[in-house]
Amino acid sequence: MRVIQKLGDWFDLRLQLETPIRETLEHPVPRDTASWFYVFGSAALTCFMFQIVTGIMLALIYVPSAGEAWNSLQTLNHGIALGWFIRALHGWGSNFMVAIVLIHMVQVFLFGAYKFPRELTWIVGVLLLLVTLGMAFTGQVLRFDQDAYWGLGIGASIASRVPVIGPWAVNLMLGGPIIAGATLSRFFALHVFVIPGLLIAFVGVHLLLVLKLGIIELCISNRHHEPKKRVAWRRSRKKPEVVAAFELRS
Amino acid sequence: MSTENGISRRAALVKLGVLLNGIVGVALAVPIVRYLLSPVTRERRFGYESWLSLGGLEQFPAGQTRLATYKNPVANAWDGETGDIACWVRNVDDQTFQVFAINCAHLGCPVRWFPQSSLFMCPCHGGAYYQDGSRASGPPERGLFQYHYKIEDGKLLIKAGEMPTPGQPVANKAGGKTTCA
Repeated sequence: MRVIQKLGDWFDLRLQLETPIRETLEHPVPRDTASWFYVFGSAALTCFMFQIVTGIMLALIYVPSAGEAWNSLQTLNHGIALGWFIRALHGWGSNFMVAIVLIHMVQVFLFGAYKFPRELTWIVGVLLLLVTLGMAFTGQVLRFDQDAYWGLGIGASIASRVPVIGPWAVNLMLGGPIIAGATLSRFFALHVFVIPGLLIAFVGVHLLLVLKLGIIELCISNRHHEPKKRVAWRRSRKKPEVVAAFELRS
Repeated sequence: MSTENGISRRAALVKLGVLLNGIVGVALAVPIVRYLLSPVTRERRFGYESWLSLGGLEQFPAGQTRLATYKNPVANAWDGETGDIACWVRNVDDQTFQVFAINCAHLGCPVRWFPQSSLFMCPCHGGAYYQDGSRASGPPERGLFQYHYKIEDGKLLIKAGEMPTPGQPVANKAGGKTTCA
């Protein structure tokens, strides 16, 4: 034990991370935020970390080549111990991640948690939604099955309708004139390098803002049943329109 | 160390440093951007389209519409099956042909020929086309894309090489002639 303590002290003397980590872990939050409504942000982050781990495991087997991608997934499914399971975790995990990110967004919207001073948290959150959807689209392309192929055709047809630069956007997206090897290679690069990099950067900013600005109180009126408490709660509110809304209700 | 201009030596050197780094940045950015844009710029120089054989005319009986496949002219060794592109060939009267792209004019899904109803139908959003490729119903705002064709030595040749999309292919503007009308 003492060795571990000494080793920890040696590192922390140089890194000086103990205080910020403790402050992060022990930072005060409003009492009524001990609620299930507050789990979705952490749940989305958990999904993302889960996707990183399972994704790295898939990358050990997967071959990002148009001619071989599908065959390598057959090997993954049938030739590797529990390969099918890891692949299913990653595939279902992506569905869960998109769903939880959307639920998180709805919850933040309904709580009004996007308002001052947390506008930037919301804006970065919108970017996180976009890159999450980007991960989902580029990820399903990597299977390079019929779904992926014709899904790319739909993407290319949509891109071609962009005014003026449409046809060029198609070539840029496909990496050439048709959906082929170059297309899969660039979607692999997007899925494995570009978008995860953006995702990690945006998550960093998002979390930093959550820690700096704190989280909002749970604001559900009928939790305050007891009349005296409710009055006290009402008086504690400065905004007249909130008080007016309560007069109307009672 | 202020000068008469009010700029310190340190600030001036920082500005010079930013300028030099900017020059290096641009010098690096130019090749990177050109590299990234190569699917667009390369095409303008050489063109993706060329004449390709769909095989002998005997494969396409008069009055019928048959599926044909060709190897895309711009291909890599690792393309696999994606290097093969399908199209529909309609032999109108042994003199006149129509070669339709497989891609629906709405969002590029593969249309299928139904001889029972003489219609091309798209599985994605219900686009339908008559046997001459003109739009019958559904979301497409136009008929099927058609390849230019010619007959040489008893073989049917089409000019192809780029996935047709609702926004006009770039090659058409460069060539001045619509390849996939």
